[in-house]
Amino acid sequence: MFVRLVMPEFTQLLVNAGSGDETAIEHLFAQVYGDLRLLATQRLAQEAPGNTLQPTALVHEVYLRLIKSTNQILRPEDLPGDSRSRFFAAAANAMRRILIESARRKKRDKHGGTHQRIALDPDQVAEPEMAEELLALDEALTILASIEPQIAELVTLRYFGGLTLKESAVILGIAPRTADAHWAYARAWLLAEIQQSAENSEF
Amino acid sequence: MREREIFTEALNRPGQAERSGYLEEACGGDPALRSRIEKLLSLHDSDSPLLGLKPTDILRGLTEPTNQTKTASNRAALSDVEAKSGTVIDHRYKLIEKIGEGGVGEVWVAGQTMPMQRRVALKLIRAGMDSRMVMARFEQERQVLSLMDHPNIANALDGGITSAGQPYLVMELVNGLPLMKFCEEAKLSPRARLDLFVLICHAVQHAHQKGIIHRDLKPANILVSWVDGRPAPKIIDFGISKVMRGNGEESFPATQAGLVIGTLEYMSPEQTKFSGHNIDTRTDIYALGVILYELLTGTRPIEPEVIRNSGMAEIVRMIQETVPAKPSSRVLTETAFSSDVFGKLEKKKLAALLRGELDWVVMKCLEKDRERRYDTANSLARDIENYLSDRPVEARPPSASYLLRKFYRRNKLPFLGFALALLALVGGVIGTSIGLIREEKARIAELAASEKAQRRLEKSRKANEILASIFEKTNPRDFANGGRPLQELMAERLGQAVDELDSLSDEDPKEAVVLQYRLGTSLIGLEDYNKAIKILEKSLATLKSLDEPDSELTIEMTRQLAEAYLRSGKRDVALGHLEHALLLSRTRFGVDNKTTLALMGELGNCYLEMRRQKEARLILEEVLGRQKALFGNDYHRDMVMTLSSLSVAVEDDWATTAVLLEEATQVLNKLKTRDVETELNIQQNLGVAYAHLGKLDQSERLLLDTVARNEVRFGRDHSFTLSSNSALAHTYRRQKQYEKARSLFEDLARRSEMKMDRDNPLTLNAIGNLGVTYREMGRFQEAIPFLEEAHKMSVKYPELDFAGKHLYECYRRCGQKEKSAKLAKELGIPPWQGFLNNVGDSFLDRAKPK
Repeated sequence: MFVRLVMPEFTQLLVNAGSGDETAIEHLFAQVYGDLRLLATQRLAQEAPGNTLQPTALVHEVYLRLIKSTNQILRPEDLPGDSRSRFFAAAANAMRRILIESARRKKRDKHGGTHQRIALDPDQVAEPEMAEELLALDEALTILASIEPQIAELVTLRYFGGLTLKESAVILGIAPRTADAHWAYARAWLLAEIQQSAENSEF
Repeated sequence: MREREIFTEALNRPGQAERSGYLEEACGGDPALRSRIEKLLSLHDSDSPLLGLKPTDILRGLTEPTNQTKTASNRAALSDVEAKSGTVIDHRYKLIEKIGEGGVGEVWVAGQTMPMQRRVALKLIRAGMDSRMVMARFEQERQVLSLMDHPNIANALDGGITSAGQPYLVMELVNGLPLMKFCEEAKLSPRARLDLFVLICHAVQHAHQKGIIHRDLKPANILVSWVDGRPAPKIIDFGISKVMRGNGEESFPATQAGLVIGTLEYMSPEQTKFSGHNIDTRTDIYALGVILYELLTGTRPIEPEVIRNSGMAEIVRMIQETVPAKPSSRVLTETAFSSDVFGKLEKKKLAALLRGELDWVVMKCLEKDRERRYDTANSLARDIENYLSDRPVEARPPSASYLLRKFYRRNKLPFLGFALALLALVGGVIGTSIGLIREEKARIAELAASEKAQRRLEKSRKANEILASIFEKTNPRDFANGGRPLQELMAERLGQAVDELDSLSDEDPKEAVVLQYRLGTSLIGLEDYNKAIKILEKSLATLKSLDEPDSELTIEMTRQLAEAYLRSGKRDVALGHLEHALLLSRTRFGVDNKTTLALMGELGNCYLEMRRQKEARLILEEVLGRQKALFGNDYHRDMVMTLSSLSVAVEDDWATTAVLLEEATQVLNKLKTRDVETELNIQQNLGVAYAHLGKLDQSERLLLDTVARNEVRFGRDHSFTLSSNSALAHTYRRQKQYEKARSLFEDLARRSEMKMDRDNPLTLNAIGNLGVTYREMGRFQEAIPFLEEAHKMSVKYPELDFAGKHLYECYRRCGQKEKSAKLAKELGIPPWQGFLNNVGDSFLDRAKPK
């Protein structure tokens, strides 16, 4: 395959991660996380207030940037399947972490933290209540991951990574129908979990 | 997990009664499980926005979604019935008014409720088109579109799949008039129209740089409004035709219901071909040409009358074959502007304005062969700016430019060294002069002897003089030349021309670059690599400063530069340039493109030279596969080259090599034009393969013939000739004709050093092999200095690896224990092997009859 030929670090990293090399997977995550964060900052700075950020576009752009830094052009679909999955998984998880971190910060601010607003901060969460919802979702998702890891991964890919159901299914190696059923279950399960923990905390 | 399975299964039972019946049965006597599942089911049907909003939306601080409609009712509304106004899509877009409908979908004005209140254009793809393939493709394209960000392009804002599974796209809603209508109403002058057109070109360039092709550029897709007292265009539907069409292939418009014939008029010849899969950015350049034509003449290249009265097939034929009337002529016809459109400017004055440069610019866009259109939207814009600021334009009247190009193509100078070649070249110069004179005549007539014409004539004359100077007094029989060979004289003249070009480059850098490029390739043909590198580096730098880092010329020049470096032995540098050229080409043309594949092939060759056989083989196999798919049954010279390279890459499998070369020969014979250079190359490789397969007589016959023909064609000292001689010497060696081999290698080493350098792979190879031959003759002492030199350089040129083990053998045989031990260590030869060898030697020596 041509991909293996002219292949400096990033693509090599992808391929290694694709074959299950743990260090490579961690390294990949760090790489994607750093770039994604930077990009989100820039994007929020450029965009008119009120515009939405597209996780999908962000992830793709991060991909393009990483690839560009290696001076070659490989579209995600040119990559061997395993490496592609690793990339999107890393990106979705990085996205999740970025969002959750910012939600946490916002929550801290609400409880009397610094109140200085910096316009260019990607961690800007306007409505603290929203931030709490996001945190609740994250917690519920973590619990789900301990019971149904694959279903939790599906939620991460689709919700945080901005992938379509079909794309997520391909990456997880399951049929679209199955992904569909998993998604319905996950949504109901998470709702139940969030309600449950809300009730508990009221007592 | 049981809970999940029951939940999933229950969802599949639609009716309430059926569902509870199932739960009764599945949960049996476990009321806790049953109530848990019932809770999950009720949550599933609830309207909670969980996982419905994008996490990033939440972060932007969006308020609660309003206008929520029940997902279920939404689903029914969209899949079974037509979308109605009032329908809310994805909790965010409320359809207000349908403003368009086509074969593939509908366009709505929609009110966006969140994250902000605004109106948007929402394109809904018709239900029934939502096959998985279409949707996957759609999603991918949508993501690419969101990378565009330009004030003159309507942004793709959002998109997704409705709950009913219909793909939709949200675009910026643009207020403005379609281009032609705006120009008419605003009574824009030709100049203002050109200014506006330049803005459009820049926007198109932006999208092209992101890899997005519009495919359906036309005045109706360019909306113009006044912004700050100036006309501001917005291009809509960028890349949409691809998204809407869904599949990657272009399909003929007639097969797409709803595409009106009017669109055909902006369609490029390549788009009207049934097999027209490979659309590229130059397709948009064509459409821009039609738009410019219409802006300047008020009518399109094909008369509306003709469109009305002709069948589809006829229109398509005209698009593919008929060269339209020049704008300056067309403007005088009845269909052009009614004469008052430009205020007082009458049609005749308008025709005079268009005649010449503007004609050329438009016609260059409308070239049937896209290779001859502008490379980029930017270069089109620049040419119009050139016109507007009275600088000469790049476009030329078609006929003369065609002649000129043909001349250049004819004269890549690979066959210098003969009187015949001289004749051909002089003929070429005369040809150019005729071309230039014709061109000038045409221009002078058209520009009515203006000052501009004078300037350009002067410049052409100068360029011509420089070209002609190369051939002055090159007669080898002329005493003044001291009997020096023609090739040497030519190289010297080319060198002088290179210097003279410097003065020209100040005045017209672009023109100078093209000439420098031609001289550079000629110098490579003459094997004067250092000069070639110097001039190509320089012109590449100029190109970069001209802001054309990705033009075709850049790609081609980078490729030539890589070749010059490769042949002069600087492989790492060559590799870098090749990879760069490949990157540019892949970005520009994609992978399955002649240029890109040729570059990949060259990369393979470069790996071969670096002895990275595995990589070479992988890439060459890929190239061959893609070329076979691309060229199909039309055999192509490039495929022959790939086969030939691949045959070298399958190292140590000489039978395969021979098979590949025989296949290459077959393809070669099917080509329309004979390609002797490649033919000789293959014949030589076949000779080498036969030698390895033990068919020594066949090998000798082939190689003797190759050497003789190379000598005639390229000259005695050309590297092609030297290389075939080296192959022949190897065959002599295998035949144990040692004396013949030895003297040939010795001769080669000397000739190669004189021609190139001592530090050159060809020279060092001959030196090393001279050593090997001495060794095989049993003259170990004489072999040592040659092998030592080759071995020392094997760090730089890995193909000299062979020298090491021969050298070790010679040291051993001459009893130089210290040196042989040191070398053994270096080569990783275990000590016991040396011992065994010694035993073997003494055994052999004893067995030898005295």
